[in-house]
Order: sequence, then structure tokens, then C-alpha cells
Amino acid sequence: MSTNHVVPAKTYVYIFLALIGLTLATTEIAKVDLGWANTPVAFLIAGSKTLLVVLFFMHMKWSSYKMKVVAASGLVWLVLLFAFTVGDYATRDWIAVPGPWPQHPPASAAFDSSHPASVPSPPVAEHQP
Amino acid sequence: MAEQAQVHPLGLRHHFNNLDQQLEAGTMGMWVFLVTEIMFFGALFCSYAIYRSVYPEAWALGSHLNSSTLGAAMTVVLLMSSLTMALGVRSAALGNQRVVILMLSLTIVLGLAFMGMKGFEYYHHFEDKLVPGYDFSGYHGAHAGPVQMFISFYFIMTAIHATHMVVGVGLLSVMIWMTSRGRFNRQYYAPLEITGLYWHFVDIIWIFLFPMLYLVDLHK
Repeated sequence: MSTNHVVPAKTYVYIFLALIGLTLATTEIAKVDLGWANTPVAFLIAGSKTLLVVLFFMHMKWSSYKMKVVAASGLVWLVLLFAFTVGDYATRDWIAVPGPWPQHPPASAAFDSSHPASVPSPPVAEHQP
Repeated sequence: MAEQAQVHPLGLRHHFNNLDQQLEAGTMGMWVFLVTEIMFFGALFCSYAIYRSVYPEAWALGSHLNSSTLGAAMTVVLLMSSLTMALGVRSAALGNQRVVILMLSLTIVLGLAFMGMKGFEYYHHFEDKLVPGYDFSGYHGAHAGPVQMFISFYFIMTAIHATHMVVGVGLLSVMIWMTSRGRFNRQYYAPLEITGLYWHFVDIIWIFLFPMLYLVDLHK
């Protein structure tokens, strides 16, 4: 941003009032059961509030393109962090992982019956000193 | 640009061409730091999300141990502090140093009010024996183990957030001191602008912590 870009004070006040409105809205909406939409709605409101704060209070609306890229990169890394971590936890039971720990019975049993040679035996020896 | 005519501007470091470039570099540096902060809190948010998907009932029960009214009030106080911060930076751009000091002082007062409410809440969790690892005997409901885990998330996340606020109050105090010493003018107030970015970021973290720790399945 260039120096001396002064936003009218009333803009800040309107943004503030919108933020207060969204805070009250999310508190009241949480008391209503929306089924599967409960959490998405709460985070949609939190995301909208974040957008208002970043765009106006943090002056991103008037910032240079490269500043927008730097800020957006935070979101990119966050998505990667979530994608790989949640991806790991969500798919741990999908395939039988050979190892010294007990095999997952259903997965390994299914593998053994169709392709007996495709599942390597647990490499127990490698883990011994 | 008439460089001969220009006396060394207030606050301009010799390795920058001009104040615009200096502000752009400083602001960008702050944003890079904020991106690392997003990752720092992101790891906590991600572990919270995974455990919440495993223990949804316990997360709802745990969040009911916090008062949503108090949480909403804290959010309003913090948003007010963000407004005064933004107005403070605006006054700096207008060269109105007295208003800057007033607005930054108000920001500190509101920040301290937030931490006071947080302390009140912590005090009641200790009173009610709802402190994991210390005394959790006050909880008699279902899913005691995972509920304890939720409250652990609550304490860790809010304590790290409060630590950031303590740092913010320290930064604001330095900014008030610098303003009162005449270190800023209409052209140079970059440290104020960057402190503002930090303060608003801490506000954003709370905007997410509020629904995560106070509003989980409130209808149940």
C-alpha cells in the first residue's frame, strides 16, 4: 500500500458493526439445530468476519498484488497441512501396512485370499538390533 | 523525484529508496511472519478438528462447560479493540498524534479487559475443578476422558492466544511511547501500521476460537 491512504472513519465503524452483528448471529444460530450444517455455518461466519478484518482493518483491500499473494499463501499452506494430516488419519485403515505391529485382520485377510504373494511378510528382522 | 531537495525523511533507513518502499518491505515481512503464525495455530486447529471428528459428543459436552454469553462478550470486547486499533493507525496517517495515543490506550484497556474476562473464566474452571492434569474431579458427566481432552485444547489454545495478547499490549505500549516522543509523522508510522496487523491477526485467531470452544452443538 502507499503511504497516506486514509480510509474514512465511518467505514471502520460500519465494518465493526458488521463484525458485532455476525458475532451475535453466530451465537444465536448455534442455539438452533441445523443438522449437518451446524459446523459449516459457524465456520462460514468466522470466515466472513476474517475476510472483513483482513480486507479493511488490515488494509488488504488497498494493498499491492504481491502482498495479497503473501497473505493468501498462508491459506495455501494451511490447506496443505489439513489435507495431508486429515488424509493420513482418514485412510489409515484402507490398506494393510506391513510392519512389526499386528496386521489389521480384515484388510490383510482379503489380500491373502486373492493374491497370497502380494503381501510381503512383516519385516520383523529389520527392526531388530 | 527531487532527491536533492529532500532532506532525510523521518524514519527512513538508508538501505531503502523511499518511505513507500520501506513500508512495503516491512508490511510484507509482517505478513510472512503472520503466515508462520497461521501454521502455528493451524497445527492446533488441525488436531482439534481430528479429535472433534472422533469424539463429537464429548466436544459438545465440553463446550457446554464454557459460557457462550461470556465468550460472545469477550469477542465483542476484542472486536472493539480492533476498531480502536484501526482508528489509531488512521489518526497516525492524519498526523493526529494525540488521537493516536488515545486510541492505542483504549486498545490496551480493551485488551486488558479481555484478559481479565479470560482470567475470570480460568478462575471458575479452577473453582469448579475442571482443570485437566490438576484436578478434573468436578466433571461427573459422560465421556470424561475425551471431555478432559477438549478442556485441554481449550486451555492450551486460549493460553497461547492470551500470550499473544500480552505481546500485543507490550508492542502497543512501545508504540504509545514512540508516538509521545515524536518518532512518527504523517509520512512515517510504519511500526504502528505493522503493530496493527499483529493486533488484528490475534483478533482473527479469537474469531475462530470462539465458535470452536464455546458454540459446539449449543442446541443440545
